[in-house]
Amino acid sequence: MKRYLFFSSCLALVMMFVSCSKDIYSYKDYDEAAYTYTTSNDLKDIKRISKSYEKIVTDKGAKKKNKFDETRIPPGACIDYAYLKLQQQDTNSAYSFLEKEVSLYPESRTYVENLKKKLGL
Amino acid sequence: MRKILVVFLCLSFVLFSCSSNKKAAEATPNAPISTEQAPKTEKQIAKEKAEATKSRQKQKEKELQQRRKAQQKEQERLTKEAEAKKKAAEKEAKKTKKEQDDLIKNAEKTEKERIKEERRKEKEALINADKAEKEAIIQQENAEREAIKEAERLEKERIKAEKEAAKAEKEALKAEENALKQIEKSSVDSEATPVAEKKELSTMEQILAMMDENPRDKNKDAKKEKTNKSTSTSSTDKAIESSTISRGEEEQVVSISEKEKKQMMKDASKGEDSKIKKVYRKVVPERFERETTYPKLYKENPKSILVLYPWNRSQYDKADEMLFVAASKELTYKGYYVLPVLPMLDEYRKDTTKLSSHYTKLTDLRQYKEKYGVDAVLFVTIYRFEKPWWTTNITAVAHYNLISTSTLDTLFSRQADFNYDSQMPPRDNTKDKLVEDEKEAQYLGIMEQMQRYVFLDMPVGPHHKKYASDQKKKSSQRREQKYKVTVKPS
Repeated sequence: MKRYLFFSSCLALVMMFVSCSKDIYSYKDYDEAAYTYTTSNDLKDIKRISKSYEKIVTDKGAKKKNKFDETRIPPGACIDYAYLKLQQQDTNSAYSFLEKEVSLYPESRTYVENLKKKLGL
Repeated sequence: MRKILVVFLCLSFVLFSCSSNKKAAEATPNAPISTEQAPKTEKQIAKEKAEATKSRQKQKEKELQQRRKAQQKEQERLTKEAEAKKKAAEKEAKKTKKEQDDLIKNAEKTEKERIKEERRKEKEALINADKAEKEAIIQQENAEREAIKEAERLEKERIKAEKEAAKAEKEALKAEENALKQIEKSSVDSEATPVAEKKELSTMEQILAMMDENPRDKNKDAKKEKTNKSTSTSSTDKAIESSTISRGEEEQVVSISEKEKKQMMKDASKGEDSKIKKVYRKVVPERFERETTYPKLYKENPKSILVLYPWNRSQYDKADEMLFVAASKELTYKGYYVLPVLPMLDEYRKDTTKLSSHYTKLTDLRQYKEKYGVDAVLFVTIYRFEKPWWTTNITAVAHYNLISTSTLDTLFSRQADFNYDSQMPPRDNTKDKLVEDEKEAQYLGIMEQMQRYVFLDMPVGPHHKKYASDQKKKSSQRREQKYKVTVKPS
């Protein structure tokens, strides 16, 4: 009995100190997507990369139980997604995601404005 | 020869024909001898004709045989002549070959001799050149030695002259002192000429001021002691003159004796740790607070960072791309806003001299601030990223420098030596993988882990929960920001 109590208390202590640390952002497949973009520029790869970015930036990748939290969108992801949409000739969604980036991270305003001028948006 | 053969054949034919007629005449011995011959029958005529034809055929055959024999003889003779000709031609050919070989040998001999002579001449030339160089070097060294000796002699003469000048100045000062004393005595004795004394004093004061201001004058201590003598009655020993700190507003150390040097070294070493403490600190390095290790970063407080494309000096071509992605991701986890990867990468590819850690200069950082609105820029150079074939370890060495765009100060600097004891991960058979190469996927993961260790003790940014509350957090990184990490997967 004493042994059982001892081990159970140890387990409880361990469970107390083990905390499920959450990262600030949810990147998912960001690394592989960005790396594939650096290595190849085919349209097929761009579509695949945009799909993986879509999961990060929109609620398509989120589970039904968990609500999509926009604060967990990492900085620069919306701009990357907009850039990919421009390469697929979807300017409307690109513009909307650029504005979303500015709303989430105001320090990106100067960069986004220069990018819009450069890309003709 | 042909004519002889033809004549021979004709004669033989003639003889043969004659003999055949005789034979034909002799062949009919039993013929009746009568003046009136009996009439011949047809059979007899045919027989005669057949016999004649036979005889002619025999003659012809004989002639043919004779002709063949003659032809054979002629052919044998011709063959013999041809063989003789061949032998003669072979002999001639052999002779010519011998002659040609002899010519070739002679030519080779001459070439060899020529080459030998050329080499001998080259060697002689090289030897002569070496001798000349050595002689020139020796002459140069001698000239240098002489120049050095002359310079030393000139310096000695200059020092002597300076000493003599110093002596002369001392004597002049003594004379001036005596003059001053006399002036003082005369002023005490007679008060009638205060104006002239004042003038003299003013002139003397001016002279003293000029000598004090003269930078070439080396006897400043003597003059200061003179002024101090007028105010105080200090001693004038030589030991004190050489090693004292002059009083007054200006403090200047002229020279220090050896005893004082040793004493100063002892006093300085009193503050250091003992040997035991030093060994302990090697094993357990001292922990410092973040605000002491990164004071400039807390002062500047950057919010946005631009990661420049790394300068890849390793043997792995894709290390720069991997690090570019991983470093930008890790800095976002630290709470900073990092400019996006994809458009910056395309901008870099248009002109590789811009937005690269290799070619950007500090003067370009102000432009980046105006153009991109960033507060700091990260320079990265990759020195090593490899996996030797004889180990399972992956080593990565890189240098990081975070520089402010406003003040151009280094806010964060790190020399990372990362060693990862890797094991090949299990095969991932999922479809639609973005990175299909398993090796590249493994390296990408290792690069991410490396960045996590590099930026482990970096102060957090504004998007982090612990922003502005991590100054007192201690870290075991050394003040030099140089460390080596070996990681093994659990």
